[in-house]
Amino acid sequence: MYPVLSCLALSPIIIFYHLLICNIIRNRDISIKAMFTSFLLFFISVFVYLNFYLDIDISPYIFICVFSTSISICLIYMECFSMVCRGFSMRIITDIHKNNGLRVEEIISGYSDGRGIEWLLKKRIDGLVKFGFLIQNNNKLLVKSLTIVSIIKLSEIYKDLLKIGKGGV
Amino acid sequence: MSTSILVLFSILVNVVFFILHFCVWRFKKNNSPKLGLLSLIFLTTYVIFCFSFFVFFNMSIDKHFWLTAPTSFCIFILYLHFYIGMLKSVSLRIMSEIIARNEMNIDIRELKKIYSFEKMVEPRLNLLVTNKWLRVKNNKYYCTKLSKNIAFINLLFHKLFRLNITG
Repeated sequence: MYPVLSCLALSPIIIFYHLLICNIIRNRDISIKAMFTSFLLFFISVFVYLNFYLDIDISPYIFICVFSTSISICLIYMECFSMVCRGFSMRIITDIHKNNGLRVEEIISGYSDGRGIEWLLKKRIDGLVKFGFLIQNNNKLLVKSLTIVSIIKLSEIYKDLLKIGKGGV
Repeated sequence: MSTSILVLFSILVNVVFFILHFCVWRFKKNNSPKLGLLSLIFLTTYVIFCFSFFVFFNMSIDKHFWLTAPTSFCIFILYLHFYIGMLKSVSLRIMSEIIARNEMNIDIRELKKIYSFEKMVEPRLNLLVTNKWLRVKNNKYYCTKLSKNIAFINLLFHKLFRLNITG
């Protein structure tokens, strides 16, 4: 019980580490890497706390308890941070709040502080091209990797089985 | 009871959870994540498994709650990430649209039609209004009290984490 509860009690330290790294390094592209670094620091903190402060012997049983709890906490944090960084609804709500109300056309053209919905699509495409998932040839986008094709086809089978539609909206 | 049996128990809980999830989702309209229902299915599966192990194998899983619960929950959360990714990922949808074409390529203009206002923004605005995150007045969208607070916290996080470009 104590290892899991200790893990839960120490979880706010992730935010502290994350903020610390983001504000020390001050590079706007570092937030995701900083998040994973803060996860690692969190794991280390938990094990140090259990081993040295609570004097608990880290048996395989205890290790699995703590590791599972830590991973769950980190995944929940990752999801929340992802919503803050990339959430579509969150961004729309934020734009409307900043502008004290927006019309539909203003939401589309002013999405993400005036960048527009088209910027959103361009950002996703640029990301996919950068990581080699897509090839951009003038105005055309191509997929050449057979691995990517297989993964996408498997994802479509999964979506068909669960009847969740095409997704992405 | 050995640790490996308890880990296996957690894996089995999630296997049965997925089977139930699959069965329920085949009969429902699933254009929203339905995280509440997923969590309910998972919790119910876990409780039923604990009870079954006690009745049929005379194993008190509750004594090992602090291992089986986090491990089962961890696997569930991993699956949830995967599921939400499949449901919401714009990148995945873009690649699916490209692969669906014969030559596996698409014109960007064609992609913009798929991600037009009608297909992307309007359903999301309607959902936000239905869930009372936004309200409509004279063709303008406004935040409700709840979403104002959320937006304020979001902007605070942008400042604290130095996030200049989001969305």
